[in-house]
Amino acid sequence: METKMGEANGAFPPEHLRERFDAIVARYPRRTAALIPILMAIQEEYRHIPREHIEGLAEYLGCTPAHVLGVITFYTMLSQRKRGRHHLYVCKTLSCHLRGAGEVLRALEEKLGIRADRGEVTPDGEFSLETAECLGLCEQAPCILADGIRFGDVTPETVGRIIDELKSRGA
Amino acid sequence: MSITERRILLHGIDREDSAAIDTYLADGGYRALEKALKEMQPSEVVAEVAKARIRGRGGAGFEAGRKWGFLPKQNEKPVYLTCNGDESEPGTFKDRHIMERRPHLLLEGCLITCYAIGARTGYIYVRGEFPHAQAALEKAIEEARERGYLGGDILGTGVSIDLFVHTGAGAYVCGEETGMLSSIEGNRGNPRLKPPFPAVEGLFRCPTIVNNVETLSNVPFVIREGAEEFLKLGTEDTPGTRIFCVSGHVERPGAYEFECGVNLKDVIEYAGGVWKGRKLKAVIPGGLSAHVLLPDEIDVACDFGSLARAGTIMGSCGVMVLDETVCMVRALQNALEFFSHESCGQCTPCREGTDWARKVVTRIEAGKGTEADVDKLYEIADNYEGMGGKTICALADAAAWPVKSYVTKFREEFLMHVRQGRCPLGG
Ligand SMILES: Cc1cc2nc3c(=O)[nH]c(=O)nc-3n(C[C@H](O)[C@H](O)[C@H](O)COP(=O)(O)O)c2cc1C
Ligand code: SF4
Ligand code: FES
Repeated sequence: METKMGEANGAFPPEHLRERFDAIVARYPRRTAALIPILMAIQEEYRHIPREHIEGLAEYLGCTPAHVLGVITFYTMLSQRKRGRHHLYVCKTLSCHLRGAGEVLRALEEKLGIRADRGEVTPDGEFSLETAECLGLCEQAPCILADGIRFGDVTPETVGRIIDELKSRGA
Repeated sequence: MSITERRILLHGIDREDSAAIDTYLADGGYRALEKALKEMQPSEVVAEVAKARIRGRGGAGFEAGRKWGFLPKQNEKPVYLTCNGDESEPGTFKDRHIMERRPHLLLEGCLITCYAIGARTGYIYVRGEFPHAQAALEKAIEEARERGYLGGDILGTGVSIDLFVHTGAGAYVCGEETGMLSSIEGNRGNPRLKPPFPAVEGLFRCPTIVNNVETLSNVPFVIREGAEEFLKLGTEDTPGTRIFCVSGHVERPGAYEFECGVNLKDVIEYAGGVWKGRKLKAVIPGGLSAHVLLPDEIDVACDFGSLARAGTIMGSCGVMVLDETVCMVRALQNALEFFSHESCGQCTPCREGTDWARKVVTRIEAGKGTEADVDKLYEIADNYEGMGGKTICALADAAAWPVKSYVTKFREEFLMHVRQGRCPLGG
């Protein structure tokens, strides 16, 4: 379900996001404070932070492109590399580790044919994998956050169902 | 002993519509706000909260009312409230329950607090991995605005307060209060040197109060029922209830609210006890940062003071239970992968030390360590533990406590890895 809205073309803010971004900026006494919420929205829209938007964004908020880059590289949910249409965060921290997160990750890597530690994306661009630190969902360990959906009590046997569900929901 | 939950913060969360404003209003919601705004001076609200001695639920246990008292008396600048919903201490998921299931309780707490401290604006910082909590709060803010509890001229009192959700983007250190302020300002989440403390110079260099989600969610009860009623709950040391996040090897992991002072052993039993009929090996009582406890150390009351006397911390109340099959070397490796990854890198002892410790424990885990490595591990942690003011923030301490306690209490297990050249548990 790729639309032309998903393509970055340099103009900032992109027309369809302008109103939303202006509203975010209005929440703060300084424009730069809107940087992280806006980057999160861009990440969601384009599955990465497109290079061609960095200068425009910096100008829009009144900071430098270097500052924007510095922020992008600090936060794990922001990425300069394009992620899959479905991006899976697989928790690996202790509570999940104790209940089999390692096996879940291996099953996913095998099923999708990609490695989490290399930031790989499936050749069709559908899926990418990343290990995450505690997702704050430890009562449902081991757990996965993908496309804003939570999957708890995951087992190596149920990862296939998760992939199917994500596929059926589209992007 | 069997114990019972005392749901005040988590009141009614089993209901489908627990997050709706009408549900909240039917339970007496927003009456405390009305009372504060119409019948109390801001200073009286501060005094009532101070009297209740609500200790900070973010982990450090500092009394909220006292913190509010640190705001400068003479001040021309705007004052801000920033609510800490970063909830990234591993093993912790209590704030998520409040934000998702009882968002209006948190909003009411924030609104009363803003009134008390003279803030016109409050930001609720919610970690990026919590889209559901963000959506629940955004929706609740709209509902509260429509009903006149938030925004301009609240309930016709002339008081105006705005609350906004600010999303994080993935970084544990943004839970540290000054890291969070950096993040709200649109920067890398680097913690800042204190002093100045946020109450004096915080967000946008203005006086700022930082409180945890659960801390602020106690405020409506204190104002509505009075500090005396709050003090009847819990212990002298830690009044009130706390939400215990039980995870790991128990039959029924979950968020359970008890009065403070509840016995740790009973909390674990309440969560179904150790799963699969196995034996208990260790308990981490206050989030991953906490010093580990042995099975014969868990007959302890859960309040800040008692757990400190037991040599650990109450912290974020994230209770992680480890059964007999767990390899403590592997567990420490897991913890150090976390801390070394999350160190922001500003301070050399923290940046280099956590990474060095991670490498050493990895070596031991792989059966390639030496006996000297085991002592080395302790020494490294002892060196980066920032108590002496060696680091900007307490992440370094948080990363040192697991190392020092696991190595000390499970020394034999670490040495066995060295002597046998492999994990003695077959892990
Ligand atoms: C590394 C580190 C991470 C922290 N993470 C959190 C967190 O996720 N949530 C939180 O409320 N407090 C966290 N804290 C504690 C905050 O710095 C601060 O003490 C707290 O938000 C104050 O609120 P309280 O007094 O109501 O607890 C963290 C502290 C450190 C050193
Ligand atoms: S102690 Fe660690 S996390 Fe804290 S500021 Fe220093 S380097 Fe960053
Ligand atoms: S450890 Fe995986 S969600 Fe907390």
